[in-house]
Parts: sequence; structure tokens; C-alpha cells
Amino acid sequence: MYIHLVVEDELSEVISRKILGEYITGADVHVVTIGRKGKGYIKKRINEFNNQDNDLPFFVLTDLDCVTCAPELIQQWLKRPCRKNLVFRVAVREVEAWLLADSHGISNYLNMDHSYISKEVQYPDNLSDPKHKLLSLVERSKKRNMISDIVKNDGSSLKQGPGYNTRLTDFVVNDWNMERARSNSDSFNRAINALRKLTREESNEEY
Amino acid sequence: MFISRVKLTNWKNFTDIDITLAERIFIVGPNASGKSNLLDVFRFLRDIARDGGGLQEAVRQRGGLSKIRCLSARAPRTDVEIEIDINESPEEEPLWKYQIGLTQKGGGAVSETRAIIRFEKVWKGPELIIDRPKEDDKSDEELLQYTHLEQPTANSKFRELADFFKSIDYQHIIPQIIRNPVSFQKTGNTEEFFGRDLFEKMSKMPKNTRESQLKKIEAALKSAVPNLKNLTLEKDKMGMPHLQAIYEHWRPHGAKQNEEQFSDGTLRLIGLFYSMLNGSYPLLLEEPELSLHSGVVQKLAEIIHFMQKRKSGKRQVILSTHSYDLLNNTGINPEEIIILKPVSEGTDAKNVNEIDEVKKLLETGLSPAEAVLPFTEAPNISQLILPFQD
Repeated sequence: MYIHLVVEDELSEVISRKILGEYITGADVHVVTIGRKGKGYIKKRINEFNNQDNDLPFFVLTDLDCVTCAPELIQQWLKRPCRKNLVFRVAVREVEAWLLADSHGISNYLNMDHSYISKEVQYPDNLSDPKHKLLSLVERSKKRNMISDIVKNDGSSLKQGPGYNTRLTDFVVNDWNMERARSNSDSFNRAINALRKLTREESNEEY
Repeated sequence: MFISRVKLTNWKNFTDIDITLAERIFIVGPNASGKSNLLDVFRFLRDIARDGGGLQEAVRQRGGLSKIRCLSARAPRTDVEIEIDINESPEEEPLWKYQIGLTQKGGGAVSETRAIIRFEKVWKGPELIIDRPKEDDKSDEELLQYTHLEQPTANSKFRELADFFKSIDYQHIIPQIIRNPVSFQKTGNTEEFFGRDLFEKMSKMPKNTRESQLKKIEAALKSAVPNLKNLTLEKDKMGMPHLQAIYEHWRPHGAKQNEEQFSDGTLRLIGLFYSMLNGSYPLLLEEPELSLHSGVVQKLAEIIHFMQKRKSGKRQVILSTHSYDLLNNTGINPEEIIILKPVSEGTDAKNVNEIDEVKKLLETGLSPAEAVLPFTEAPNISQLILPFQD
């Protein structure tokens, strides 16, 4: 079975591939990634992917960013309810929150105290800027050579560093525990539950 | 005429494929999926048919039949088999059909390995006009080392087909070779094009034709390389032809340049334009996007379309590409794309027309770049750099 994955960027892709690989069971799954060209591309194309004549399995993932809540974004973007075989999920507020939701994994990867991480990130779904939170945690990591790959600190703000995607891919593939993350993020847990729609004949509950 | 279908058994990494081709073909696939190997089957037929070529030479150039034969070839099917249909138009039945099956004999310390013909067949329309082995092949096995395709005395009934194969053109311009042909003359096999004989070919054209073509090329180049003017072909003291142009810069008269000073992209564009203006037989292009700016690459599919509309007849273009920009054109039809996909035993090749998933994606309005390239991507590509971290 081919699943067509539509994502904003590389990190969302790696995360989605891990989710699909783990939670879609019983079928030989091949994931094909479309897009990786930012949020605008998904917004522009989503209604074509959601065309009722189309029955190809799709998993579409975008970040909520500054929109108030996920239902509002879905309401704004979709002209009609999600068709059969298409799962559209919105990460609250960015997929980085889903990574932070595994605080044990993060603390191991960054070689930092778990108590510190879990105090900083109590409810990942409530973070207003999860990526910034992640960058600021990395900055305090004891793994010096990792910091300059992930974070660029230009004095006034923290930005994505030159090796951001590679380092976080490494984390996602090797250290990120999705069961732990699931128990800590409602947004992530619901995304995983929604995948059932791709394997079972289920009517759609989202709009 | 154009190649409308190719069926291969045990050809390099293709254990068993059967694909239909259009007059413009884009071959896509991951690295090492065999794009060049697919193009090579057409070069192989050309090498058999061309003057001074022949089956044994074509096989020898490729390192022997054991290098040609697919690694996954298993008994009882270990022969290399090629089947080609040639059409006048896409709607009609094939004009010609050519089939050849090859094995080898000899080898080891005692005798030289030779390619042996198991069968060679030619159809003209529905009629089978050559069917080997015949009686004399059976009585003299030596004959089975030579195709009828390569022998003028034997191919008189299908000369048109032999000429077609002979004239297949392969273009993979390597600018370094154009700039410094001498250093490569000793190393490479001398028959290959690689752009080396481009200027030689130009110099043999009638003067008027050449000048009008250079004018066209210059006009087209102008939008990509605006500083290049007055493109001409000049001979040096030794009689060697060189391309010359004025490169305009801050000096009032600009500087005269010849091909040694042209950029890689300029040379490749000139080669492409030249091939598209000449010849009526298939043109094989290996990654034409190389060295070109993405703005130019975005135009390639349409450049090929318009250059195929020449009055002298449509020239089939078969190209391999990895380029998103080249394929990001919704004017490319599903039947014009071949996807190569590595499978457990070699590589599978399919026309996109036969792949429902991709066709449906194209129907949603995605360009081939968006719909087709993802299928050729290695699933773990994001992990490419992981080994380089410390």
C-alpha cells in the first residue's frame, strides 16, 4: 500500500515516516513524500488532494503555528469534509512539540537532567513556540559540538542552525520514543489515533 | 520513425521489462537504478549496425556478454534478449520489429569468449522476413557470431531499419572533453560522441545551413547567456574547427572567445540546440540538466517540444533526468514518463500510464515533478548525512 505523505519540511517528514512505519500495521507500506515546500504549498493543494474522486491514501500534516486552534485552521483550509482515506492533522503548534513530549528521550539526547527538561516542558501542547523552546534547551546542552549544528544564536534571537535537520533526524530515528510522547501530548496522540482511518473502513469524524 | 516499444530480458539490471515509448520520453529513477543502462540498449543496437561496428565489437566494448547479462539472470532463462518496435506514428501498428537473443561460448584459458546469436528475427509490418537460425546457420556455427543487421549483404530487405539503428545519436556532452580533446583521445573509446566531434560535424555542413543554424542557436542562447554575440565557426591554422563568439563586458568591443573559454552550461546548450536542429533519428540525452541554471532547465521540456516540430520530421528524444525543474511542467503527459524502480531482482521499468497511483496524482493537477519524482526517492534519504555527524 502506498501512503502519500504531504508535509511542510524534512523534519515533519521524518516524524511522519516513523509514525506511519510504527502504527500502520498489517500492510506492506510504502511512503511517498509530496511537497516539503512549506505550509503555503499544502494550503494551496489540500483541496485537490481532498477531491472526492480521489481515493489514494493520504497523510497530510501541517503546523498550527499562530492560528488559535486546529479546528479553526481546518475550517479555513478545507472546502469540504475530509474524504475517505485522507487524514489531515495539525500539530499543536509545531511538530517540535511532539519531540519535546518525549522528555526522557530529549534529556538523553542532549545529555541534560530529566527533571530540568520536564520542568521546562510540562505541557508541550501549551507551548506558544515549541521550536524556540527546543532551540533554547539545546543551547544549554552539555554536548557542545551539537549546539552549533542545531542552533544559530545571532545575539538577538535563536534560529535553526546548519545541521538542524540532520541532528533532529538522528534523534527521531534513534532516540525518540513515540509511546512516551503520546502520553504527554494530546495533539500527537490524536494524530496517531486518526491513522486508523487509513487501515479501516471508518467514516470520518473530523472536519 | 521512432522506437515505440522495448522489451528486455536479462539486459544489465533489467531482468524482464516491457515498456511502451512515446516520441518524447523522460526516464526517471533513483541513483543506480539503471537509467544509463536503459539508454545503452539503444546504443548497443547502434553499435551493432554502424560501420566498423558489429555484434562482437559492441559486446567487447561492454566488457563481454557476462557484463551485459543481468546479475539476477537465472536458469532456465539466462540469454540476453532484446525486442524493439519501430513506428511511424503512435496510432499505427509497428512498421518494423527486431528481436535478438544472445548467449556466449568459449572463455577460460583456451579460447576467447564470443557472443552467439540464439535467434535474430525481423518483421516488416506483420510479416516475418528474417528468422534465424536458418539451415546455413546450423551447418556453420561461425555465422551465428554475426547479425544480419550488421551485414549489408544480409540486411538488404530491412536496410531502412538498419539505417535507423545506425543513426541513433547519443549525447552526453562533457565540456572538459570539448575543451581539451587531445587528453581524452587516448583514453576513451573513440567512437563515442561526448561532444568531441560536434564542431567537426558543424564544419561539414553547407555554409548557409550552418550559418542559419548558428544564428538560431545564438538567438536562443541570448536569453540564457546575454553577453554572448556573433557565434561563428572558424578554422584554426591546423584546419581544426572552433566555435567563436564575442563575449561582451566592460571593454567597448568585448573579447573574442572560443569554446575553450565557454562555460560548461553554454557548451551543453549549444550541443543540445545543435542536436535538436539536425538529424531525424532518435536522440538519447543523458541528464541534459547538468551545468544549467534552474531557470533554463525549467524550459527544457518545452524546448524539446518545439524543436521536435521541425518541418523535416519529428526526432524522438529519450532522456534521463533527476531534475525537479525539468519535470515541473504539466504539459508532460503520463505516457511520456518511464519510472525505474529497483526491486529484489534487478530493476523494474514502467510507463507512468500503467501506474494508477501516479496517474491519479497527476489528475489532481500535480506536475510530474511533484507526482513522479517522490516515487523514485529512496525512503531513507533524510538519513543520508547521519554517518557524518560526530
